[in-house]
Amino acid sequence: MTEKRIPVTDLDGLLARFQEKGAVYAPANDEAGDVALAPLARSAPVILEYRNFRLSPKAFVLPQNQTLLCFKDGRAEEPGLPAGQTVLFGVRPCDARAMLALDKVFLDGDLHDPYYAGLRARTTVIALACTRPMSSCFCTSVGGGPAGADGADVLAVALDTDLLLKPLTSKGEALLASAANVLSDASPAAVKEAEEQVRAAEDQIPPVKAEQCARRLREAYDSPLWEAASRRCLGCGTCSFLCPTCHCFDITDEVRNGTGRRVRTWDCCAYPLFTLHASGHNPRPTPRERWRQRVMHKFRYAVENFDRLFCVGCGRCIRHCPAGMDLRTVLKEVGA
Amino acid sequence: MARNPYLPYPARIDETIIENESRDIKTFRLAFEAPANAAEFQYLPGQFAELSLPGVGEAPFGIASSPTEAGRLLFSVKRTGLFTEELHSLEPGTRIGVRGPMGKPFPWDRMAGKDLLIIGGGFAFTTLRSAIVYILDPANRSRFGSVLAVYGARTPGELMYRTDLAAWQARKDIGVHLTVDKADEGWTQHVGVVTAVLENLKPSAPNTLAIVCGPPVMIKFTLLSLAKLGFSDSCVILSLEMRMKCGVGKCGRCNIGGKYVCKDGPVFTREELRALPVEY
Repeated sequence: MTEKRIPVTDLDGLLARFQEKGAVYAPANDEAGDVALAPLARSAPVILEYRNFRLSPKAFVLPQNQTLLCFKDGRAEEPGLPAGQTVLFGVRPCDARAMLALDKVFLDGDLHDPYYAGLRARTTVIALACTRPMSSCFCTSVGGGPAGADGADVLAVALDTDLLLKPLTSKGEALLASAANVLSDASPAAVKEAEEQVRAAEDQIPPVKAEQCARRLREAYDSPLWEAASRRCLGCGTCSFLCPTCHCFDITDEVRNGTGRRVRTWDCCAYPLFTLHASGHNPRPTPRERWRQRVMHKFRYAVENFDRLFCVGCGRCIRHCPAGMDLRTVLKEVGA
Repeated sequence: MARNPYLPYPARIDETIIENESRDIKTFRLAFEAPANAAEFQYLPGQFAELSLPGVGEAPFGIASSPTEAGRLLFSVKRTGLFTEELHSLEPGTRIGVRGPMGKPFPWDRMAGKDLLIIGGGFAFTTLRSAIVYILDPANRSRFGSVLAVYGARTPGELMYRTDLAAWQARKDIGVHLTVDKADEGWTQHVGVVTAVLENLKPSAPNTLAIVCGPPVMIKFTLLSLAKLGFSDSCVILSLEMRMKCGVGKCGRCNIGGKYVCKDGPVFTREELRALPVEY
């Protein structure tokens, strides 16, 4: 399918069409005045001018709290999987790419995760190319770009008056086909304008030294850098919770009188309890080991296991760290 | 469709056996509620499973029985934390969930045709019991060469599986050396650390695989002894313990280097461990 266009003024109509298929989430102001993905509502106009959401959209496929089992009278039962489709409009390309990293972990042959798979299958992602990167962005250094939306089903680019829509998967094609009568073919001039806009956005993103990081990290396991780099870490977990690829979780039970649920909850390798044995032994006893684990996991172990960096350069961990820690500094210094 | 990896098999506790004088190690004999589940639960010695108690949670334990012991699924558990406290308080007849089997077993294909040296310490002897029962099964014994086992505990009363140990010591096709740190009246066997017994026995290294499970300090010195006896790193097999949750390589908790102890281990050779960070 070729690229499609729709006037920006008709976007509400397009999203309403998608709503016939299922729940649609689009960028709107939240209670705090931030732009966030919110259920489509007449009262909250869709916003196209925003940098990125504070929360990554990973919660749509890996909820912060998710029921794994229901207990009734002490017996375990599988919870029903949610029915219906979800369309996410306006996911930034970096966050769409992050879903490919999550896929590697959760859609893994014999050890397939049914809960993730169910949510992922019912979610259609429309990425919106970036025009104004933030100072913390570094997608172009980790394999992505302002329009590098592998992992999305449709890539949208907002021009002055038009929105261009390019299907990237069969799911995306089906979605656009369902709204064919409100879409028209994009003109070559519009496609060219979009390309130029993306290139201009790319030029605004300063490079970060991430090349060869797996090799460099392999040689830097015992580097004194970890001690220095981790000194500021409060172990608060903000970086993990906001990270679109962080996926480690805890499993706990909420049960009274034999009835309740087993639930998985986002967890974080910066927490001392993450690895604490019942014996009292802790294999990663200080922030030094824990911070090293976080960097190693994303930039070395994931590359070794999946041939993929588990960082998409969204910069949330840099922007929101209460202690001002900056991953880019470590990447630059390590093994250099 | 594949079975939901988070859904435990329903089982019940059929019998509990106190294993030691301190009364803090109990063996739980479990039975699956559905015979089809029992047939599905195909395991080999060295693997583990997650035991599940609604409202308490789950914890991973090595399987102490051998698949050759039809109908007997055993877990020996030391009372250590919240889950094991609760487990120890349960009576036969209580329902319990079992998730697994998980992880890689001891390398049975590689072990065929080899002499085997089995070294254990303390309550880490569980999967070694499984291995020995499996090896001594009439259908399996001829597949292996000589079998030598060294098992140490603090006192005679802390040795687990004493009925099994006595039966094995009465056999000619396995050497079983028991040692204790502190003897009591009537103890006629070795006194001293496992490594002292080992270095006295001087097992020959060529064509031998060593399996070692025990507390960290025992492992540390045993590895030194084995190296002295000429065992190469690829011929020394260990089993790691890590805090775990999901057991299927997702939750990230047991991640060490590029490996997940739950699915890539818990069994590793010394050579494989040398390639990993010492975060265990």
